[in-house]
Formats: sequence, C-alpha cells, structure tokens
Amino acid sequence: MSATNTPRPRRLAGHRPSTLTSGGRPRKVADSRRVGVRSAVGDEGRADRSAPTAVELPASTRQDPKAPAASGGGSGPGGAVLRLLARPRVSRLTVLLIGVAVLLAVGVGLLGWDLTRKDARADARSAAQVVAAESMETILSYDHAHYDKGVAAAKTLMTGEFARKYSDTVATVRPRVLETESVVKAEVVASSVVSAEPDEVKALLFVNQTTTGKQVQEPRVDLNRVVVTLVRGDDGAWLVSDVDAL
Amino acid sequence: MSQPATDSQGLRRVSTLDLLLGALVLALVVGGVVIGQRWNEARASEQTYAAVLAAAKREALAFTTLDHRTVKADTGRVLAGATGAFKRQFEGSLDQLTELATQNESVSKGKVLSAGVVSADQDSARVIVVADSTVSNVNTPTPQPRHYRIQMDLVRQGDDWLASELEFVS
Repeated sequence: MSATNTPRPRRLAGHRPSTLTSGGRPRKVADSRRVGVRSAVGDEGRADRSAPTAVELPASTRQDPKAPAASGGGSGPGGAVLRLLARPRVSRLTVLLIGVAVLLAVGVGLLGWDLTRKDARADARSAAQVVAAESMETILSYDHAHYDKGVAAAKTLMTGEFARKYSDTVATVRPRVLETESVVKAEVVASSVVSAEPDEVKALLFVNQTTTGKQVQEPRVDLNRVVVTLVRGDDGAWLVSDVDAL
Repeated sequence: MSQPATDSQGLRRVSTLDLLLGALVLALVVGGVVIGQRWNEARASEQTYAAVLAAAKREALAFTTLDHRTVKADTGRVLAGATGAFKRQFEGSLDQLTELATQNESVSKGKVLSAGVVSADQDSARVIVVADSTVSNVNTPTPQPRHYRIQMDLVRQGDDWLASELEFVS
C-alpha cells in the first residue's frame, strides 16, 4: 500500500494541503494538527489557556511518545502526583515513610488516649477521696435544732436519685431525732479509694459518729465502715450516688 | 531542554516530601517516647494500687483467721505477708497466741469485706481494710461476730508488698 501510494501524497500535498495525514511533509501535517487542536480546544472549553502554547511544540513532542505526558503533566497541579506515581524508586521510600508515620501515629495516638484515661482515673481518685470524706461528714451529721437545714445541705452533695432515697430515710428518722433532741457528729478518721474510673469512684471510709441526746446517757460513739459511690455530675463536681454501711 | 528540568525538579520535590515525612516520623518517635514514659508511670501506679490492695486483703484475711488445730499454718501465713515492726510484734506474741488458742480451743474465721488505698507510692502504701470474723471457743461455742477496721502500712520488697504496720482504727 505505502509503496504504490508514495508518489501520490506528494502530488496531493502540492495541490491541496488540507488533506489528511501520514505521508505529507512535516509542515503540512503540523498545519493540519494545529487546526485540529484548535478546534478541539474550542469545542471543549475556552478556559484552558495553556492549549495554544502546547500547540507550538508539536515537532519535538511528536518524536517521543512519553514526552507529551511529561510536558503535559508539568503544566497542572495534578502533574506532581503523576510524576510521583511514575517513579517507583522514590515512591517506595515515600510509601515506606508514610507507612511508618501512619503506624507511629496510630500507636502514639492509642498510647496517648490510654494515658488520658489513666490520668483521668488518677485525678478522679484523688479528687473523689477528698469529696467523699467531706460529703459524708455533712451527710452523716445532724442536729435536731436545725435538722431540715442540714438535710437540705446534705442533698446538694447527692445525685438526684440518691437524694430521693435519702429523703425517704429522713422522713422516717426525723420524728425520733426531734423527739430525742439528738445531735450526731460524724468524723471521718480514714478515707481510701476502693476503685476509680474517670466518672465513678468507690471510696471506703472509717467514720466515727458521736451521738448525744435524750436517748443516750453519755455520748455514744459508733465506729462505722462506709463505702461511698461518687459519680461526676454535669458540672464536673463529684456527687454521692450511693452509701453502703458495712 | 524541558526534560532534565522536570527531572531535577521532580527529584527535588520528592526528596523534600521524604524529608518532611522523615521529620514527621522523628517527631512521632520523640513524642511516642515522651508519652510512653508517662504512660508507663501511670500504668505502674495503677498496678501498684492493685497489688497493694491484693496484698492487704490477703494479710487481713490471714490475720483474722486462726484455728487452734492449725495454728502453725495460720500464723505462718501471717508471717509470710509481714515484715518490719509488724512481723517482730507478731513473732513476739506467737507463743502466747498459740497457747491461748490451744487452751480455749478458739476458732476465728475471717472475711474481708472491702479495702481501699489511702495513699501509695512506688515503695510504700497505706491501706484500710474492712474485715469481719466469727469467733468461737470453749466458753462461747456459738460463733460471735467481730467487726474490724484495720489500717495497714505496706512496703514493697522485690515483687511483693508486705505489711510493716497493722493496727485497729478506733
């Protein structure tokens, strides 16, 4: 085919430069390509400003099939990524570094997360140990002379649910406290932590309750052992949610 | 002309990225070491709380348990978890204790109800323990309940926590 056709294109080229393709002189071909590219750009969008300059380089780019990709890739921001992907040696090191960084980040992240949990438990432990002792001295003390005031103060140290249980107990105890004119003073002689979570702590206290009143000849001392459960309230304060006398 | 320019530019950019990644890795390693040390300390103190509580409960149970038929084994358990002043005191009272227990045929069965850590550091700790026991002997065959409030000081010896002081809290 090419053997028989060879003379013809020359003639055709000489007469009419507008025809297609292959056998023609570089110039003519370049002309036809240029037209083709222009129209393509025109069709696809005028926004691509780089298109006309790209057309100026057809001769050099045409020789090497890889070249268009390289120069074309260099013109946009996506080109850097393309170049990276096209280089396996560099890519391997980069991929390795990314992999190591990701693994380390995950490891350090988990470690950090667990550390914050541990720190939160430690903070809860020390804070709740103090609050437990203070709260129980208030809750386990009472004075018939201002009993209701004491009850109200005690309730502020409790969760709503426990305050309701406490109210039930108070209702049954109150008449006798007033009748006997009792005064009970609670003193925490030792406080400790049984278990601690960031939002819940169990504290063990030794509480001495000294009772005076008509029902006792001399002040009576009860040596109590109390496990107090505290939970963190909405404002972060530790509230008594349960009291268990052992 | 454009070919080598892209090449060198490409290489430079890759190595900049790798340098940044290397710096990130280094920063993560340094951060990991710092956080790791703090994490290790936090873990150690949590393990201390657990170990101290376990040792104190074991010792309190041993201390509130004594059967006149197994005095040697029972007191041996107490001594195994004791050290320092508490151990000396207990050893000092051992003969008298054995004699009393044998004479009265006393049996004390202990039970630990709860224990909490008052304070603890790496080598020493204070714990309070709630324990009950039922005590019977020739004079009172019906077991009588006893309630205890125990405060115990412990010290670390190697991997063990041993009671160095023990007292009833009144």
